[in-house]
Amino acid sequence: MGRKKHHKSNVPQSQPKPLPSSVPSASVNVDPGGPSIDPPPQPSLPPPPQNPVPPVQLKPVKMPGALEDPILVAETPVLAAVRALLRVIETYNGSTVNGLISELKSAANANNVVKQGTPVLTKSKLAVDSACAQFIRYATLTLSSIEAEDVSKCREQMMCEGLKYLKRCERSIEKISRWAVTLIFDGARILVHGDSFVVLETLRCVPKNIYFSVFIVLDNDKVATFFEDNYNIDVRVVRDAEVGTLMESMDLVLVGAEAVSKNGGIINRVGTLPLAICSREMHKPMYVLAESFKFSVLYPLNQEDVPEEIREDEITKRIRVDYTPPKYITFLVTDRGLLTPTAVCDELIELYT
Amino acid sequence: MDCKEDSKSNSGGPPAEDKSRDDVRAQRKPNGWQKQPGRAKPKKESVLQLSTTPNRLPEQISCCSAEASPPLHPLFHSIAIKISNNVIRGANSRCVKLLGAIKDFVQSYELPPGTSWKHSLSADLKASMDLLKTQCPFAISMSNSLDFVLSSLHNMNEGEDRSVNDLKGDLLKMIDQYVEEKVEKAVEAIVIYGLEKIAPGDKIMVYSITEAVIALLLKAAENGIHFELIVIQTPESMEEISELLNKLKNPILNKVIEVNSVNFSNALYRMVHCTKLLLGGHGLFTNGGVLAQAGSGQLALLAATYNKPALFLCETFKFCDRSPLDLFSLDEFISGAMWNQNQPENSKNDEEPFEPKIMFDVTPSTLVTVVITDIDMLPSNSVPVVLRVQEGRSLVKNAS
Repeated sequence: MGRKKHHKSNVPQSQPKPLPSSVPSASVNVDPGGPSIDPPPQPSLPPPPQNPVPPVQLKPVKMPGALEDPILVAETPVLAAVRALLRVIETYNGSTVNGLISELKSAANANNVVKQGTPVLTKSKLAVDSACAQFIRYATLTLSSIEAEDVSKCREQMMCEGLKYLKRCERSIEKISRWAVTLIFDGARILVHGDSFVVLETLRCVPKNIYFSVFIVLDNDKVATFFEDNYNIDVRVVRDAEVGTLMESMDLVLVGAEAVSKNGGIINRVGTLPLAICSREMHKPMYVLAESFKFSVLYPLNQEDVPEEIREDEITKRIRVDYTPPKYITFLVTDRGLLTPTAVCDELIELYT
Repeated sequence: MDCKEDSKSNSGGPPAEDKSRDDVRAQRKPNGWQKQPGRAKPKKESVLQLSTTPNRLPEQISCCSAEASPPLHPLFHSIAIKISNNVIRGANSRCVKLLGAIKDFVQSYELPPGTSWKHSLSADLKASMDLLKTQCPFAISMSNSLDFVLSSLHNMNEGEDRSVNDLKGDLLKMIDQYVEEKVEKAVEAIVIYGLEKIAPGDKIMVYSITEAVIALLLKAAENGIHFELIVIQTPESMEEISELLNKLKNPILNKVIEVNSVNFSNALYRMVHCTKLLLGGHGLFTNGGVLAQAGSGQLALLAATYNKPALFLCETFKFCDRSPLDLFSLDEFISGAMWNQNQPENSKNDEEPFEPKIMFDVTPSTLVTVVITDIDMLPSNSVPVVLRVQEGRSLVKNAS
């Protein structure tokens, strides 16, 4: 509680912008109710003094810098897979374009086999699948314009398109965070589900003069301490069971996604669905941050319809992800802009037809 | 028996709102429209139709349209009678039959001397169709296929070196191709996509049965997927239901699936225990509404209430770029012939309130979980994109 109070008392003093009227009352409600005994009251309040200290950490948005951290590795299998496919194009020495395409497809399937190993990789299985499918689609999209049957020319073209796609994938998180930062207003209280890299990256990119507090639904304190230590963001880790109590005092809900289904629903870490239902019931906006390479062709009708190998953990056999229907989602923030759930399908139709 | 029921419900007196609507109607049509022998006034195309008369032979029906001032071509006339009497049922067969009639019309078309074949044919066809629209309900699938014929006629290359017979052959070929690609192959494609969504152990409630629904269920049973079928029956849909049940009446298939037929009024109790609702669509609007047999909306609402997914099967040739807010904005109910036939003798007067028997309703997109089409599984709101993409494609094709 100490930290939050501290934070709040600081907010009105230090920031010039007027708070949205709902914010103070909301936080007053929660402060007595949810006694958080987080010891370090400092981190979020004094960003201005700390500003000169970590400028280097705040600037880099590129993956390489983030790679050392264990949390952030989870998203990179996608880039690795796309690079692998690029290599396939590069090293192909057959004589037909069709051969190259079928080789790409088999390589994409091989990716599938490899990545079932560790839990971290299971998490990005869907994203790798959809990214590979999109890569192949993009790489072959312009082939019809080439008249010559010269394979090397086609390969060149595919390589060029493929590189463009890779670049888009690499820059997607940067783009998303640029969009999503605008959703976070001064004094916002944000409920975050899971340790999605995109969400954390977005929170990190919020300008220094915006004060906000973050509640992360997680099993461990790893992320919280990481954030407090590195980015001076006020983070409190909450259990799943606290979501209902906390929701009324929240301003917005941010979640990532493992995959976005064709109808604009998302497949994400288990617990997203109750969170989404709760936020809809209390009329809090729920934003999903997802890169466009996660747009998959899955179309689950209900929970049961999610393929079992995705739904369940391979080792523990416990449910790992759930499916959130589009009606609970306010909109998706993607590197193609802010999309309503229905717009996802529109994008996919335009891509695949 | 149906007629009996109709008359009963008529005598029961319509609810107040119906009456007010009827008043409006009466004001608009002060002369008593059912008495007009030939309603030459062109109607908007209609997707609704009244009446549920059991099949009657066309010869038995005295169609008032016979006296219409410009005579309708006999080919189309017989279609008009069959459609308005429900002899030709379902959007698919209506579309195919109409195209068949157009083909015959093209084949037998005699070119007036001194005119261009393309232009005079297209003008005559248009005139005939406008007349047809006044005489029978004109389904979305029919108007889409008509649009196709007219536009392909328009785009035909009428060079010096091409004889009328060549052009004729081309057009007939194109129509055949349309029927094959858009109607027959579409059903096959829908079956392929639909099979993904039928899991062993499902209890599937079925209503608004179309060709695609029958094909999908048959294929699923043939593939050995064990599922239970709950067929919702209404007097209007007995024809389709008996077709479905006949096809499933097969000793091998009977081992795989279990079929129950229940009345519409029992749907609520069955819905609690079923896992999916499967419906066939007759049209899809840009606002995501699905046109299907009357009662589909209610069932979809039930399904939404019990949190069961509602699946619609709808071919892309039934997509339509209109967005009616309710089904009364489509406004047309039935041809004059049907109305006269259905009325019991004693109630045939102008004062009798107009009570439409609705054959179709529009399920709003919020109640539709998925629409399985021949190009993909889509949320029903994506219709405009599909239409746009299709248009873009055909433009490219025409240009090349």
